[in-house]
Amino acid sequence: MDDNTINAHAPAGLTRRAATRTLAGLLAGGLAACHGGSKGTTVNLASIAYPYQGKQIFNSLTGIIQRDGWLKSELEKRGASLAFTPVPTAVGAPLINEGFSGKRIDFASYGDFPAIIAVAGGVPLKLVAPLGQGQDVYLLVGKNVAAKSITDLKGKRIALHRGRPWELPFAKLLDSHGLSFSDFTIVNINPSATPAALASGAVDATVLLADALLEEQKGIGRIIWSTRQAPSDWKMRAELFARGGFVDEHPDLTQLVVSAYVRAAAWSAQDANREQVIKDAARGLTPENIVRKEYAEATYPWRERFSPFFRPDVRSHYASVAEYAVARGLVRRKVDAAALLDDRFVTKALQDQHLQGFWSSGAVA
Amino acid sequence: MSVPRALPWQARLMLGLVPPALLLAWWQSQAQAGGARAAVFASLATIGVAAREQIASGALLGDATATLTRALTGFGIGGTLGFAAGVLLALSRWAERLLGPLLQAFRQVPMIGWLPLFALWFGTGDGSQVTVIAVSAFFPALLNTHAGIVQVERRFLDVGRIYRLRAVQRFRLILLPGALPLVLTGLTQALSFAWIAAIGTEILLGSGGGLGVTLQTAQTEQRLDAMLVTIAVTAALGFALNQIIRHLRARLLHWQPVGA
Amino acid sequence: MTGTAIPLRVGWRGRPATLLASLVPFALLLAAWQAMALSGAFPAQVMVPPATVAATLLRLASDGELARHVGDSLSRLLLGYAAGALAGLAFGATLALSRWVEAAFAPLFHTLWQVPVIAFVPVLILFLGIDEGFKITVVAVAAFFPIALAAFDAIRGVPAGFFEVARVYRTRLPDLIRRILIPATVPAVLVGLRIGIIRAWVVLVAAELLAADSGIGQMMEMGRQMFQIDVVLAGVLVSGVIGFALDRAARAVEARATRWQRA
Repeated sequence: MDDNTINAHAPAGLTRRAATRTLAGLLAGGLAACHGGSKGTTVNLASIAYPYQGKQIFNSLTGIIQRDGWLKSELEKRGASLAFTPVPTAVGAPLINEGFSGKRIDFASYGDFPAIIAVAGGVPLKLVAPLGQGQDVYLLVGKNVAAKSITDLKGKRIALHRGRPWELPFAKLLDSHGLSFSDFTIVNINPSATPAALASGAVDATVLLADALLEEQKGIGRIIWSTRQAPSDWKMRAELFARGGFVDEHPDLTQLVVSAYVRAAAWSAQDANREQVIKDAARGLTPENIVRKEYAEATYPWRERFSPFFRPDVRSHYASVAEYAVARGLVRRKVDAAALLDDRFVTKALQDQHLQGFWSSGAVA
Repeated sequence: MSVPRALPWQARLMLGLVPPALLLAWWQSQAQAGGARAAVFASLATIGVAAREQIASGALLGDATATLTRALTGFGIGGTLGFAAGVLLALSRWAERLLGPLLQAFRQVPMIGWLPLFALWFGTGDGSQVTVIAVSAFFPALLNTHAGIVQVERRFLDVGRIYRLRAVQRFRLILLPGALPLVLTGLTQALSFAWIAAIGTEILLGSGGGLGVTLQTAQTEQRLDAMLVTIAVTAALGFALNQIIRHLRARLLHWQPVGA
Repeated sequence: MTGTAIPLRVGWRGRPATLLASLVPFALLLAAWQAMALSGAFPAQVMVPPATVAATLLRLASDGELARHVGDSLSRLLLGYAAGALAGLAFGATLALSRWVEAAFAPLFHTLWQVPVIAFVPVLILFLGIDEGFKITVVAVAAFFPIALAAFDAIRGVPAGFFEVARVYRTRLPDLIRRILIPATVPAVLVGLRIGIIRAWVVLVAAELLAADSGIGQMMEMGRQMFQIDVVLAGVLVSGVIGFALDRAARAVEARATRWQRA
């Protein structure tokens, strides 16, 4: 196809290998889309989706964008189209990383750790819009397990889906008690298989997000620790990431997408829409009462839950994630966290929508 | 001691129903036992409700169609390529020397191992799924076609030469019919593998509709009843496909003496 | 139904020239792979060059991780296979020898046979959890079906004429079994056993991908989650090599046991 598809990482002296290049180019052409300007570009947004009434749906800001239609029409004005990639939660972030790597996905609203894994693995990404204050991570033990803290679980079996964002708070917990992963038997199963494993006693404990609250409610286990008892920057974070190549080639379209997220965040932040937001969040796997419980226990004002500000604590969170991942041998290279964060688009979006004072620019939690 | 005589079909039917009936009875008793068991065993009534739901909402039909389409497309591609490759390798020593070891080695890699790689290189759309299915169908077709052609007795070919038949005619009139039984065995296996691969790829990649996807989703939602309905449909469809191809085979080989 | 296919000729019959010839395709493949990786058509983390995969393999082998995963996978395979093979042989033989049993169980057997074992995995996780019991059961189920079918076909396939000859010679039962039945059924049963072990290996890797704490499948899945594609490729290679070795070994056993047939 055209030369844009063979990316700039090719070594010099490539012109000698004309034959392999043609062959590879033919293959790559089948893979990549043409990037000649905005016209005909498809912007692909990915996010974790949950099963609801037979479909996979987004139940957060991405869902609002999908429903709202603003982004779609703005893109169409520029001759581009919008596509969504729902990622089943059973598979999770690895699919998103593969999509970024294969240039099939341009934006994804997903977690901190998988994004660092991707960048460390050589996939260029940019954090273009932080989304909120992070989520709590919980350590749940089976109901017949007599453990009160992580040290009691030494030598036991813990279900942890690897490479997901909640692995890092767990790793920090271990560190703070002088433990390491090898002090336990870590079983790598996805969150959907975990409740059955816990209920049957196949594992003694598990690390989960808010679905842990649901399992506790069902009587399958007890929460013995959560990031609420830890420094606030231990929480896992999920934000809007963009493919580095896309940002470079289409800053205008990137701006549109970021603006759409800021719009959705501003909408959600209003108290008037609070009920709707809760109802949306309850579609999928977490029932409404759990959603309300989690929201009620937040220590910050409602609107800050959706803040897209590049606050200092966001910056330091990513610095520590990058540091931590390489120190623990979870990734092989140190990621430059400062280069990862790109605040141009959010700044402009806030200006355009006159929201400069709407959210706090300092830490709130 | 001699091979037992066949039973009358009425007796066979009645007997055939006994184990499934016992199984269902045991299942129902477990579901009603309460406690931890109830969480794992969904009662028959719940399963029935789930089945009705899935049929009524059209989800079942949609899923079955999606999976069947992928499986048959992959089977068509893989089976044809396998047949062609089998013919090539059987007729050309050079092709066999060159490609034989390679194909043998690739055959041994569990198909499932390729999936993450295909997902990475080609995305999780139907493209990679059909590719994996086609590869699953390819090998049985290849091996059995090759075996079929190789075992055609030399004297038949010699007769063809005596009658001065051209190579193409020898192929069409002697080799192909002689190889047909094994070729059809290969295609039967290929279809079965294609069906299995279709379900497997849907479970592992989890998107785009299909019986395997529904199975995975049901697991995410912890709904054993939906899982069982899907498994039952999978079994039924697999059985139907198998029966169809076996009848086709019997018809195509009707000229063979029974028991050959 | 049991796929009695003559294998493609891979052996080199001791002649160095043919051995070399059989390695040429692999060399070509490696070269093509290396070229693709260097051409830059795919990003480096996706099209991992063979050199990187080799380095990863060495690293995994030297720090013992590979040995651990392979060991766990193989032990599950052997235990599950032994269980599934014994059950399959017993079940197939019973089905072949008694019309009553066949009428009762054959329909159920054939229905379950149609469901890909991997579809059972989520249900089995629900019943058995995710530790060794589950994995061994999955392997046993995967091996059970082809072996049962092979045993059934083999015994049913013994021509009635053999029994008549035995009657004419007034052969006693132990001799009947030893000198007629076993040699008549062994070839087909061995083919079934071979197919069974290959199926078992494939299904084991798939089950480990979905739920395990160790094993080759798990190694590949971790690699995927950590976006270390070289680990995934290393796993693919190792599982392919093991599958190949199992197949070769099974064929060797088959060849030895049936050498009187080709005499």
